[in-house]
Amino acid sequence: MNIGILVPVLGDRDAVGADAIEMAMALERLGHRVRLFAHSTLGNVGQVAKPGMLAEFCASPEDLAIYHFSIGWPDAVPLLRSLRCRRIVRYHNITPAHFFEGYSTEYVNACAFGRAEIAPFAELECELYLGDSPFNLEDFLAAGVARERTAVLPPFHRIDRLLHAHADLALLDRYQDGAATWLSVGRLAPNKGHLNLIDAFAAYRLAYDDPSARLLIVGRADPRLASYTAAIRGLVAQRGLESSVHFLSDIDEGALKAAYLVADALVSLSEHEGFCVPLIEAMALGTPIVGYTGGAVAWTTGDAGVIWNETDPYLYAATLARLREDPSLRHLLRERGFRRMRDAFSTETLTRTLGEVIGRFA
Amino acid sequence: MNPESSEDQLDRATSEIRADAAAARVRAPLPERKIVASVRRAENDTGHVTIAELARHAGPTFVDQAFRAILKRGPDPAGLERQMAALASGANKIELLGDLRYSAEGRRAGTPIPGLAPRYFVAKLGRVPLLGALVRWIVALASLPHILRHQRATEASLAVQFGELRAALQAAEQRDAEQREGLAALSIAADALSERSARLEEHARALDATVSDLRGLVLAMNHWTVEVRRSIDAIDAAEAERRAGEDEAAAARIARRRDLDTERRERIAARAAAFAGALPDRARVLDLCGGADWLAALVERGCRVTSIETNSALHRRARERKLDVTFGDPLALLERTSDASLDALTLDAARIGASVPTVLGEAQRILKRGGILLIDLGEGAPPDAAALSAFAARVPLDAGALVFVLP
Repeated sequence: MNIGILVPVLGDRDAVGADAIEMAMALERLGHRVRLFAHSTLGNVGQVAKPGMLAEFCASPEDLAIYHFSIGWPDAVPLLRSLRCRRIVRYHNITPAHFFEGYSTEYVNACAFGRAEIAPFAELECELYLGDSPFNLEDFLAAGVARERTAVLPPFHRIDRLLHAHADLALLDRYQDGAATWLSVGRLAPNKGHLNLIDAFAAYRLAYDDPSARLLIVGRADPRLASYTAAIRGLVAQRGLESSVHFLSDIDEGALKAAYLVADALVSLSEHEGFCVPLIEAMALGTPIVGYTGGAVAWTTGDAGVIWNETDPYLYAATLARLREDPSLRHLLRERGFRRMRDAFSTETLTRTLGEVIGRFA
Repeated sequence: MNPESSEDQLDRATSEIRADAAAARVRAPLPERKIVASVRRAENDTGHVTIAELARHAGPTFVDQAFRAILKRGPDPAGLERQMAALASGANKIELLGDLRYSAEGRRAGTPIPGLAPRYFVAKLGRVPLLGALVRWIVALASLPHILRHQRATEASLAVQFGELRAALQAAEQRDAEQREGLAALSIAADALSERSARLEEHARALDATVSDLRGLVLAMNHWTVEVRRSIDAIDAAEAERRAGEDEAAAARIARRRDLDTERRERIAARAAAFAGALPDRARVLDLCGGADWLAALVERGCRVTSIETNSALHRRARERKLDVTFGDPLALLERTSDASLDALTLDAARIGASVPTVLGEAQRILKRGGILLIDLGEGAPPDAAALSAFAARVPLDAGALVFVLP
């Protein structure tokens, strides 16, 4: 069977690109003939065909086209509608527009446009709607897709590369001094909850009298969200945390690995996540997870972290304080993280699940 | 007792964390966010603020926010004090907002606050004598349903806060009990520590006694060492005195023999003249135990002479005559002398004695090509021919001296 994987913009460094490329490789390992199609590409993504070639490659009704849906793209629905083959919508979620209100009109419009495509995709009655998480499928279930046409497949990832990377020694030396270290990983976007995170960190320093504590915010600042970045820095200044909050942007795998290794916990107060790859990175590297149950965070974390239903900053402050003084709790979370990573998100597990999903079309 | 399962452990930890968070919230309240609200407002700046937005704050925060929203600046100290005093005297928030909005500065800023004007008018009407009382009654009656709703909401809020306080109190009591247990454990540990400290003190005393004994031994050994050194010094002094006596005796014997030799002075002068005549100007000469007279005769004839003497008495007397003489071992001096550095070497065979063959071997090394070796036979026997085989010629200078030339 020919399987065409279609992505509007295919990048080699983002989570959607990693999922598409690794999924293609897994399908080839399963014995299928696979080709990637993209409107445009970023970085080194190998051989990619133009979307116009998809109908020719997937000409048989037995073939399969998998569309990775994470942004609005007006060509997608007409293209899928024109195909004779079977179709899968691989949904990575689109952040609701209201998160960007007051920060970026461009993002508000783009997100609104992207989410407006959910209904037309649902009306296409594709053979399968494949979500990164159960949370992602809720959008299509709400749009009228039958549950039996849905399945969950966590995203493919490149955590093996992170595990085998050499941790950045300079960063290790800089931060491995025993001071309390909070870690946040994710681009600087309003749905990621950085403001609540900073309040939680401020509450920790205040309530537990720990002026040496630091917060590492790993993630790229988007120029189109400059007002959000300004809001973060403004709050940092208001809380008097300028010397304690460290922004690490565009770091390589070695530095990212070092950040996970020195952190007491990965702290996520994100209010909307379709899956949240940093959670499984933390599991793989033995970093305890403390998070707010925003979107799919609770499902992805499973029993491998401390997840709260409230954004109360003192809950997160108290959790980090407890983790600092309770080695058995740290050990428990690490062990559970390693186990969940192995059982639910390892490449072998994902390939097996993908094989079962594709097996429906055999 | 069954060990705690990991689920139970996590449940217990989260419960304790929640209680700890409640206590932390009371212990260290976080100041309200300010900057973020203003940033977001700047993005959507429609210019107006609502009464509800401003009135939800209380105390200094309310005054601060009202100033910033209406006058676009923070409150000055006097303004803050005045508004806080007004609030303390029972003024309502509408009245304070209206005072700010309709002040000269507020009119210039022109911040729109929907619905403020009629409410401010009613609030001010309540200040008019007699009529004001009636107005306040009417307003109070009209507001009664709202006040009742607010009261119920307040009751609910207070109940929640009471619950939180009770939880915090229970957590505090639990911590207190834990601290008591901890104190008891600490007391036991302190007793154990005290006992251990006493044992350590006992060990320290024993160690101190041992150190004291050792110090006595070291002092005794030091005393003994000093005594040994003094004895050795005394032996050395006696030995030096004995040698000095021997040297004096030998020097006296040599002097007596020379006194008996009436021709010696002329013979030395003639020998020196002949010897120096065979040498280049300012020739470098080394003399081994040749005696002060011989040395002085060579110096008089322009030779640069260094001499060594093995007899301390003769050495002292030569030095008294301002001659360049050192005291020591002739063989050691020869070993320190560079190759082919001398024009001549003179020696008293009787004084050098058994070391003559060694001296002759060294002479071949230190003399320049064509250098002269003079052996004063005195009462000694001439050296073996084998020892002199490297020298080219044997020239009798006079009856008592032989001269050899290095080819």
